[in-house]
Amino acid sequence: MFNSKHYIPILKWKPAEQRALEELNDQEKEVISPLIQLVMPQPKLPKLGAIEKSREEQLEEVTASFRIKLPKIPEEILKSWGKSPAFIDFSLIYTGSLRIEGLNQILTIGESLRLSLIPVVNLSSDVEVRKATALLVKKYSHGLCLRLVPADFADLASLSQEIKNFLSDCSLSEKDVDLLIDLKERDDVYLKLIDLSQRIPNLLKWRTFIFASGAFPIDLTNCTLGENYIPRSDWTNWIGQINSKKLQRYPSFADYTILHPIHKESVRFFSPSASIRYALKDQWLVMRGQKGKTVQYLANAQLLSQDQKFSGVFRGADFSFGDAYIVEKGKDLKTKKTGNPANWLTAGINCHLTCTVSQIASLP
Amino acid sequence: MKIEIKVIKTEEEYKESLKLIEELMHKDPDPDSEEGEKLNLLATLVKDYESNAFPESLPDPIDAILFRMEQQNLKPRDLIPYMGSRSKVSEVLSRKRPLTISMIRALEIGLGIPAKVLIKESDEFRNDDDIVWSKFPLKEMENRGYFGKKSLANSNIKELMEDFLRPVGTPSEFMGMAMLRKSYYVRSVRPMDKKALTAWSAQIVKKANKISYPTKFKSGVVNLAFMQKVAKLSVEPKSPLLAQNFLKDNGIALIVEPHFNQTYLDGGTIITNKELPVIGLTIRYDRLDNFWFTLMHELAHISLHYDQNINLFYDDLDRLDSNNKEESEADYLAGEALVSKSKWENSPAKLIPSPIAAESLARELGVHIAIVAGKMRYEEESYQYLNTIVNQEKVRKYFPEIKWEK
Repeated sequence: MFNSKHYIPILKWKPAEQRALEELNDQEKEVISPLIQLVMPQPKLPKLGAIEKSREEQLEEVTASFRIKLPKIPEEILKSWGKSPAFIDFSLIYTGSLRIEGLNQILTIGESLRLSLIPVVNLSSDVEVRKATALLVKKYSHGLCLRLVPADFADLASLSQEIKNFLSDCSLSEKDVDLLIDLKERDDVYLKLIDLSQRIPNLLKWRTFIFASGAFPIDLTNCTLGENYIPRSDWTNWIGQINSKKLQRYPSFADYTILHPIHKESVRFFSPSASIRYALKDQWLVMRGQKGKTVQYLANAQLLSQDQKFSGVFRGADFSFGDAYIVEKGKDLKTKKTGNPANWLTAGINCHLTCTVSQIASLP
Repeated sequence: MKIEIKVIKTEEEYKESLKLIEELMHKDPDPDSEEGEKLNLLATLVKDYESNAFPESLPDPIDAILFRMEQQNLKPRDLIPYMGSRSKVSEVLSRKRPLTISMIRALEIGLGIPAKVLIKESDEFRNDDDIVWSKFPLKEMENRGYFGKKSLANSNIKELMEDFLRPVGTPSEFMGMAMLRKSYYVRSVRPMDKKALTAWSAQIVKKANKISYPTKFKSGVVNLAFMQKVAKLSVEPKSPLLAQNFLKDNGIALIVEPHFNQTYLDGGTIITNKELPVIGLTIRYDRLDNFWFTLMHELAHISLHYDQNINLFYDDLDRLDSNNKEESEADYLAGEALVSKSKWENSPAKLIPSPIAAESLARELGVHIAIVAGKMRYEEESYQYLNTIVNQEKVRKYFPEIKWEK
């Protein structure tokens, strides 16, 4: 399906992420296969004076709300991404039955829309989920993605056996399956896992081989007001391996863009800082603002797009939708249209995707 | 009613507080209620602000009597009924005899001069003989070497002080006359000791007079463009010294002399000698932003008030002095010279107190980043920001001849 010169951004299926994908051009999309992580909707805020719902009631509410949303998701994918292959992951959906229901609906409706959706399963996924996935994979023939996590590598011999069993249970062979090794935030085991991954049986036979990790911090508390640089160690680790010429199979690059790999439910009343996250070659430039002061988005945008200090790193309005957004917002410090946190997340993710695509595209 | 109660710092906050007091009073709250306590607290804060912002400036009692005589066309003999005899009138008016309680009572009733004015001590600076020399900050002056090799222990204080002041005149000549003419202005949060101010002023004038100036000062030379030119020196290494030299070349003395304990001065401008305006800076805060703003403020006085009535300005710039026209004008011009309003209004620095925003605007203006950082802290009314920047570059080190307090 694709080789190591391909990019798999792992994205929560939320409006900001959807828009960031949608704003990529066709050429950029060719180098990408997103991994879409479905997430549960948030419970509604209680009305003024009303008693907060119990956990059970909230679970019922979000489940119902997810069920309503489910049939619309394939349409959203079509709109934001199109018909090119995309991975779809249900592991963040609360219950096994809801995961299966989601799988069935999304893959079935997706097929009718001619989407090319590849379900993602873990070795630890419920048996029922794995069975349902295997059936759908057989039915639609887009293949399947097996996601391994660091814990799976505790014993390589038993991992090899588990993979063998998994393939056998699903009646699939390696050539039908994409192998994704997802370190999430565990940068520290990158080299060890790369090394172990090379010993996975039949490594060359898997349809694709992907290495994922995410280096963006959980929050910006360690960033000071103004400019900060955070190493993109997920990228530098990967490119280091690509350049090492030592591996029997080189993985494709996957990351969590400008978000922390561990999903955190949004906190109510949380007012994020007016910060811009901007991907550079080996690091992110975070222009940190203060919480709730949305005018500081404009200030940071003007500094980033106009100050000579950043003339060597800011790529200009023509580079991406996100860059153009920054330029536009930096033009007028007095506008009331400062953009909200979701708009700025869209811009940041779009810049990151475009930057990473251009980095991968420029590899020899 | 949600009321935010905080210390009143500006005229705007003062007016807002008055409005709140009016609203609360209209409700006539129980004094023990939350609103009653708020009213009480607000009233205290307003009183506190008023006592700082509008200090009661009582005139000299003899001046008040002379003023009333002039108004009512009275002769000294017309005061005999209030003071007792012609000789007593003469002695009182020449400040040789203090007013008695019975005189004060009679003058209050007869001439309508408030007792609180009459009860005030007459200004000793009018007459050298009345000056209480021991009340000068003699120890500190000695420590600073104001008396040369002479020591307080072995000298007559009056002679010592007269020697010290001789190059600039007697106190009544040097300070007293200016003060009598009301041609000085003190901007300060706290009362400043007049004798300490006299000693400080005399010292900076003495230092200024020892310098040779290649050019005689020309009225009108200090304007916004001139000040902006000076401000641009701030980016250079040893900028305080460069500024000092630049001003010297234009016939202006810039003297650095620490303030005395009893004063809270940042700087002062002395324009009593029209041929040599003297700026004194105390470097009370050892920071570049403070140095530059104070210098610009004093230059603004020279630019704006050179030919006007006031020729002595003493500035404690901790206080916003929006009620005084001259001070407001000088603040504004200083601000324009360093960070012009038009640039500020359109700069990210106005919106976000970040180092990069400060750096960006400083680069655009061609001034030191500490100046912009100082402005950002001031405008944001938050002095925890940009500490590293404003404290990075010190100023006192350029004046090693001064014994700075540790």
